[in-house]
Amino acid sequence: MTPTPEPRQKTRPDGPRRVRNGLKLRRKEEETEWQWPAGTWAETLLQNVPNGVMKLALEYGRLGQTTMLETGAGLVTANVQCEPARPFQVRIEFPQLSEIAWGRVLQRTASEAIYAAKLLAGEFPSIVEEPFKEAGHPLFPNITEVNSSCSCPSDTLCHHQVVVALLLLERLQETPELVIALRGRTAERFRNDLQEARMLATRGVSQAHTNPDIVSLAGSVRSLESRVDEFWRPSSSIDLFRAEAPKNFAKHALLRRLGASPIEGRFPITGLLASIYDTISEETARIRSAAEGPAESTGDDETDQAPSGTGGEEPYSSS
Amino acid sequence: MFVLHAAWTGNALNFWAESMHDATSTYAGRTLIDATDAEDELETTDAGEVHAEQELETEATGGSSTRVATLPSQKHAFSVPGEELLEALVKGRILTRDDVEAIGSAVLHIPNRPVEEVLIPEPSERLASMMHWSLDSEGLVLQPTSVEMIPIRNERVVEILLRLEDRVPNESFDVGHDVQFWFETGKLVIGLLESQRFIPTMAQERDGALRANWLPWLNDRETSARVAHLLGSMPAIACAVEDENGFDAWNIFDEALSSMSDAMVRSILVADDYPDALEGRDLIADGHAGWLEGLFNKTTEIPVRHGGEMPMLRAARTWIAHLDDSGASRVVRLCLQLNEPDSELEDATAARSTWRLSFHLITTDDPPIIIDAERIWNPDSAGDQMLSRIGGERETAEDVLLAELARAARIWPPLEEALSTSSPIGIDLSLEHAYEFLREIRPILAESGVEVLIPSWWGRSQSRLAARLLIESDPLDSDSGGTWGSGPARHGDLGLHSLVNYSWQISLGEKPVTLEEFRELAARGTPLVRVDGQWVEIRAEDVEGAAEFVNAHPGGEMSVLEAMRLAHGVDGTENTLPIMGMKATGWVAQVFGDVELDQRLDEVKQPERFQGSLRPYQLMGLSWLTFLDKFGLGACLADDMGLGKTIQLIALLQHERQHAEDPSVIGPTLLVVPMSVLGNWKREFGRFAPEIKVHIQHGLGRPIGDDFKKIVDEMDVIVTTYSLVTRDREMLEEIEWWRVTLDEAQHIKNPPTKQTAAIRAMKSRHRIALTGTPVENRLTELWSIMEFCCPGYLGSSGDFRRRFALPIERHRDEQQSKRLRELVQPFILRRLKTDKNVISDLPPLVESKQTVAMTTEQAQLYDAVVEEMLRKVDTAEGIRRRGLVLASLVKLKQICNHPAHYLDSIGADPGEPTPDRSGKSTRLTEMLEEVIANGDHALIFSQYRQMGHLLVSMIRHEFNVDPLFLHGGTPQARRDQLVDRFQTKDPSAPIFILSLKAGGVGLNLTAANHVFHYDRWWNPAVENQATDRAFRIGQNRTVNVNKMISIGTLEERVDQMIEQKTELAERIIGVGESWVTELSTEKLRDLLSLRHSNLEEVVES
Repeated sequence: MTPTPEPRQKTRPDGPRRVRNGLKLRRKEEETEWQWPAGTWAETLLQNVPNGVMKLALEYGRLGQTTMLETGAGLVTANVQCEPARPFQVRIEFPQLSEIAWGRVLQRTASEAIYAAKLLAGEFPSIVEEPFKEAGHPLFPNITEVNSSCSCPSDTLCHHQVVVALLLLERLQETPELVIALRGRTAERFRNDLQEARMLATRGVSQAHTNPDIVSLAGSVRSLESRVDEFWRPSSSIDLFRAEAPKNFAKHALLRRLGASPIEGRFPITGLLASIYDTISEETARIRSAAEGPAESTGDDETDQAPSGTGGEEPYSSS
Repeated sequence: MFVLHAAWTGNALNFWAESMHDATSTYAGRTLIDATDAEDELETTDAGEVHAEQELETEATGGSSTRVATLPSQKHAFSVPGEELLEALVKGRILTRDDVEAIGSAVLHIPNRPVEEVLIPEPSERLASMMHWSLDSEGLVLQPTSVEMIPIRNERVVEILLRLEDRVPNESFDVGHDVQFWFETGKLVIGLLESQRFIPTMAQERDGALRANWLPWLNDRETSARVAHLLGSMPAIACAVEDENGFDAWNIFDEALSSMSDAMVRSILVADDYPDALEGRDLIADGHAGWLEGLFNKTTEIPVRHGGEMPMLRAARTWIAHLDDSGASRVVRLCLQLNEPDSELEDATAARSTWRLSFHLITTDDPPIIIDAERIWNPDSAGDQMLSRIGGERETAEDVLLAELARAARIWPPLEEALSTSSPIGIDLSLEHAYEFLREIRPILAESGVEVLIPSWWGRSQSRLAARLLIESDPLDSDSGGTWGSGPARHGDLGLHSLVNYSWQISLGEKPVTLEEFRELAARGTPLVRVDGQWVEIRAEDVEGAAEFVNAHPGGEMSVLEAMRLAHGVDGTENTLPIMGMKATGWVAQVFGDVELDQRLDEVKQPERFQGSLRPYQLMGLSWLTFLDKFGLGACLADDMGLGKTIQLIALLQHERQHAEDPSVIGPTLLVVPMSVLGNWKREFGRFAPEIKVHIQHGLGRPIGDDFKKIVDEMDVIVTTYSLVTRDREMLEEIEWWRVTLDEAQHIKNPPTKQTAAIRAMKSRHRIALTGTPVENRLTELWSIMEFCCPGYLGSSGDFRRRFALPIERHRDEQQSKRLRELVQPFILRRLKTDKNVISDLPPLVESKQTVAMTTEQAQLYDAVVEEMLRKVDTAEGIRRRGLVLASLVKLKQICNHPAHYLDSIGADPGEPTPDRSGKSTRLTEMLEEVIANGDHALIFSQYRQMGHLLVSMIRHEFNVDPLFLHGGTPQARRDQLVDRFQTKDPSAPIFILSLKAGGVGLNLTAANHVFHYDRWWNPAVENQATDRAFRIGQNRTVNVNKMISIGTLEERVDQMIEQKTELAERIIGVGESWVTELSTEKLRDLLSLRHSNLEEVVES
């Protein structure tokens, strides 16, 4: 006799093999609705679940038959203990957004300060959904895009999958920002990316380097209007500025401090930069001495020759 | 002539300019000033009647109202059309047309002056000063003003700025302060690039694209402090363009620094074919190649696969963050100490042993606490407070040490070895590694926040191979030291041109070595060797250098002058070895040795006939002058103003006459002085050395030809002026002078004028220059003066400029600066009022009178006014007569002040108010030059507000400083502001002009240590009260008070009366000027008419 899986489950009224410390569903069936974003996912995930399956799933949930549940980028994996000795593996895959899609979403999110303000303050309100919609990459995809599977023999939607979905919804209820992870990125990453995108949006640029804090060193900077009475001259003595002679500098100092580049690339960038630094040193020194060299008009040199004859060279004789 | 300006906008530096021609006579604000000044004369006297008289006159002649301004336009009134400016810049070879993008325009928010409800753009301060306008900043408002501009290509701008600085001001261009600011910016940029202070970086822009750029690295502490200073000195005009930078100084400056650097690096790399290195690389797959592509090409874009921007940016950010992590903010930092091998070891053994680099942590306490690594790994007592303090909640002291070591190892991989042990306390280094550590790694670790302790000998000149000049000269004949009279040759033929034996000595550290010995040492092949227990550094190039040097310098005989130049590394050739001074024997050692001055000199006693008493430092100066004279060496006495240079020279003349066996061999001294001090010299000789026969060679009727020769034979001193030396050159040249002396020697300038050439051509046995300016800091002046005192000593001016002036002035080269100081130190004596041994000698208040001759223009005006008054006064009576006399008095005092002062007040064309039209302003500017050059602060009092305006414009024009000006019309709030600013000793406001009435009482101005009374008040008490603004509690320096008096005028007459305390003087003091009106015509003539002397200006073609 080879019973089909379905009747087989039904033939074991004493239920599944019990586990200790399983993940239990705390929620009662009659409780109020799911909140956003769990509510939105509930509609999607639970819409076509037959009553019997749901009932069974709820029972499994309360019994704590789920031994493991992990959420990763766009993926939920779980083990649900049923009757057989080994638990069934449930896998729910959510469609991940592409880099480009994330770029668009971030750009939209960054364009309005409210999102960044809420998100960076640690909140996760439902309006976060808006920029996803606007970018054409909704936070909640269509059910057809969600792939769910279970290692149990059933080929229809089984209660194993449903109990995992319920547990996931419960997690979403507690930690709404998990919804971002379902689309492929952790909330933390999203926040960081958003910060960068905000920099782009507000300053138009996101730099690889930090800016020096010159302004606070320079002291108070006065408005143009307040400087009318000394408009044309420096506010502090410019003569005290030290345009010092660039000799005896430590060669390649910054390059050595930088160390090896973490950028993915095979080109020997450090070696080329070292040679670039030397070229720039030499060429700028040459440009400087050429520009500062005696101008054509200082023909007075000859008349300055020391009467004793010990005076120096002709102005142009040295190279 | 153009005043050039520069503004950063549209991501480029733009030149624009004002034109002097357009400014002439079209500036409406000028009329405004004239109008206020006409009223202002009311403030000037206390005799009420004059006011009415003055007003009447002004109205009658039409006054200044005839000068009407043109109407304002929307455009900047004086700005030069772009094409015209470009042409001038190209013609002046400042730039080429290729350096420029298309001519553009920008809107500047600049001060405008409201004139009759219209706003008129104000000229820049530099232009105003060139036009001799004194403009009041009150009432100005900022107004958008359109100006045409020439944008310079970013890759060219630094070079153009450097070249421009070298060539302006010239006859076509002067530059505004904004351009000076950009000069410094250009130098900052090229300095940062040259010293490799820049990094490659990248940024993502709004469109998502990654762009690469080269960025000057400003975050290190020293650099950011310098940049902050420059930012702080950014003039408002440099932030005045209306653009997306929003007038924000840092936005503008930051963008300029980045863009200039990036463009310059890029263009150099492209010209050097660097982009070829990327040939055949997959720019998208290879992030390094992609980044470099962005760093080379013009679009700056980094080719990157879609979506790869952010990961790449993040990686670059992590990398560059290594630079920020300089440890500066930490409470504890890593400290590495390099220990040389045991000093007990033999030299040879030591060279083979290892150097220990030990690890420590150092705290930021003051003084810092250093904790050895041993103690960190094995805390000696359980409650080691220090360690628990270092270790925070999250990391222990061990963690800090390891993390810091790992960071240091990233910079210098040999340190990684230490990390392979469990509790590293240090590593042993080979001699080669130790050398690498000392020479290359130490500074990099230091700027990364690692404290590095190294042996003290490192980096000292004593630890390097060097050459030293040995000079043998004859010992001094002790008994000939104080005798005179054997003619010009004192110590035989000692002097700069006498010959001495010399040889070169190579030494390693303090130890002289032969070439052979050195070769042996170098053959060991190690960069550090120990000689006699001393470590010295031997570089590979030293061996050849030493051999070359010995061949090129066999020794022999040369002049002292050549020897000194050689010893200080100032001869024409580049030496292959560092020169380490000289060692001398004999008299050369005495003159040039580094013994303290008072040890070297035999102290001279005050000359018997000197009428007065020389202070100790003045006796020292006298001794010094006689000392150099003895060796035929020229001298530059550069004591601070007010220390008595004049009497030191007078005493020298007496001294040599007193001590000469045969005084008749002592020939005449030619004393060349500015015309403004002729009178003073005459007076000082008369006062301190009446027996010295002084001839003032001046005036139209001055003796010439044989008459002159005869006078020269009879006289001890011939005083003449700089301008007459040129005119009388031939005649003066024929005479063998005993000594030529220059007063205010800064008059001889470079490039040389006819005047300078004439002075240098004088034949003389000895030369002395007197100056009160800090010659050592003013290099062209120093060269000119030294060229006079010791011809040839500093080389040709071009040579001097290359070797000293450029490195010191442009780049603050400390080493060259030190060399130059050492080189000239034997010939320059400069004492400051603040010197320890001078200050105790000085009284707290030194009053002197500057009696100056009037110019011809002044004398003519003066005569005319006196004539006219005398003609009218007889026919006038009563109040009419009194009014006439008082009005004339005012006029005469105005003429004494400055012709423009007088002419303007009667409504005539005042002409350009240059200082040289008035004796007093000439002298004042000479003295102010010293005040400003010395960083001192001065008050100038005048009774006349209009004179104050003239002084403001003169001082701006002459010195490019902004004098403060307080007069009766200054509102109280502004007064407080002015006083506060002055009292902060702001170096940009060294001069404070005050009207005697408004500023003579109440104020506390102790920042000043000079007080000038530009015109005299009848009552000395009023003057003293004004002087007390500076001379009061809180004043800790000697205050110099100078009263300006025109020779032969009523000023001098009144001064004499006050000095002689005559009965008349009592009356003067009591009642002011009204007593004059009571005088008879004869008495008036006597009091007022000009007594001509030969001190007046000589007008010849």
